[in-house]
Amino acid sequence: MSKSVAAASGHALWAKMPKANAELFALTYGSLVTELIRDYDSIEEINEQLEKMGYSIGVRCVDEFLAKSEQHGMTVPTCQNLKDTAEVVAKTGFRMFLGISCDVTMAPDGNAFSLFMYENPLALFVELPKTNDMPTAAGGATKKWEDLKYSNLYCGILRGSLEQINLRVSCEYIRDVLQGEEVNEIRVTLREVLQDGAGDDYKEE
Amino acid sequence: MAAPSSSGASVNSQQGSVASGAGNNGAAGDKPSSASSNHNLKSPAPATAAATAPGTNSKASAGQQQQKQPITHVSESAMDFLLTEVLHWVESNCKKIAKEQNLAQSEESQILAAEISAARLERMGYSVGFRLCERLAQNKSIGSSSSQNQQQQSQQDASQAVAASQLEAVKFLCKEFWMEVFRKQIDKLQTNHRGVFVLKDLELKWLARLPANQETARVAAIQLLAFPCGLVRGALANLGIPAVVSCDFLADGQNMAACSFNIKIK
Repeated sequence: MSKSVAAASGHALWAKMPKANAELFALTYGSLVTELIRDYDSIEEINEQLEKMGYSIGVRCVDEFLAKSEQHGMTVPTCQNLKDTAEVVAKTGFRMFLGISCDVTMAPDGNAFSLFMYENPLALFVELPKTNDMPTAAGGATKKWEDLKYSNLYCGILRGSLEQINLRVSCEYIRDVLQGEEVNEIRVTLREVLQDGAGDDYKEE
Repeated sequence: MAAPSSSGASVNSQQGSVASGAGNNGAAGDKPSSASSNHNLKSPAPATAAATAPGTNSKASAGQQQQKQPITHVSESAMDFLLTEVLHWVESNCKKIAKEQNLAQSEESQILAAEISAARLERMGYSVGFRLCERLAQNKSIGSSSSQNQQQQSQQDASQAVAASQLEAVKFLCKEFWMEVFRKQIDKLQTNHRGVFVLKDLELKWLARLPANQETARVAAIQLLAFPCGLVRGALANLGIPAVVSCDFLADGQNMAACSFNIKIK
């Protein structure tokens, strides 16, 4: 039941959000990744940078999400468990910001879920080079393109936004269409449910 | 280049122009994200989707989830977030570079860092503008019909024709291109018909939220404006017009979002 509610809110919010050109979005991200590749020597550093950037976007994203949904009169029901959270993220959140919808599969133990994305607005027009080496600036180790997680930004966004609602998670990109798979898969694993972080100062006296 | 309206033919023209775009980009030197056609989208005509009005496409993508619609839009806040991150990263990266090269006094290294960050943003803007213009200009024919007539006429008319086609290109920039990027058109265009253009935008969306009358906001705005400068330079380069673009910040205390771009054609 919650699935269709989340999907319906997603569609409705998407219709009301002001839009920007997706090609511009993809090209900006592409030029950012190009600059990162110019700067950093190892692919791991690039992936890490992308995740960090995603983290700071995610921190602000969740506020935007809650504010916009309230502004348009759409109440997001409180999530009772990780499954509900996953549904809301995939159906409402992704649709509202990116106009795409994702599928969610829960892990059997209920502590993790996988997001499947069939379209990726960040990766429009992108192809990764087939050859495994590329001349690097400093003449360091050759880079292997199969290790590059091009859309690692999403992982950071998920981690950042879920941390703001007290769920500490780790996200990982499992399958990537750019690497030749059929679907983009992100695995989100719940590590810890955080306590409310306000601390003793804010407790009533 | 004029593209016929049937979808099969327009896909061919898209691939033709994309190949030339990829060729140019190879010369420009960046490798990984080449502007080649996306093999993953199943629907055959992203080119025509880009040319049609935004409103209909968002409805189409919301309505049908079964067949793959090309993605034409994301939400504006997603674009804003991405831009903010880009700026933030460029700035923090340049601070890092400045610290590494901090042999001289801090003043010099700060100026160097600012210049590096501006150059970097401009370079990013160039590649984005070049490719975006490629996509947006696919269905437009700019001055091609008039150039054929001018060939038999005298030298003086030829330079006028060049100026006229340049003006057409800049007008395309001010209208369609600006509309796609900033959701509005340029407010004022001035030219001296000899290769200098001034584009004034009185309400640039990216600058609209800056607090008025603060020096840090001014500095931030000038840094941010490097990206649109690159966008303009890239778009013009794609239309075959090499130019030098600089920008001025016209804010007068109340309206922090006014700026002007000066284009000088080489």
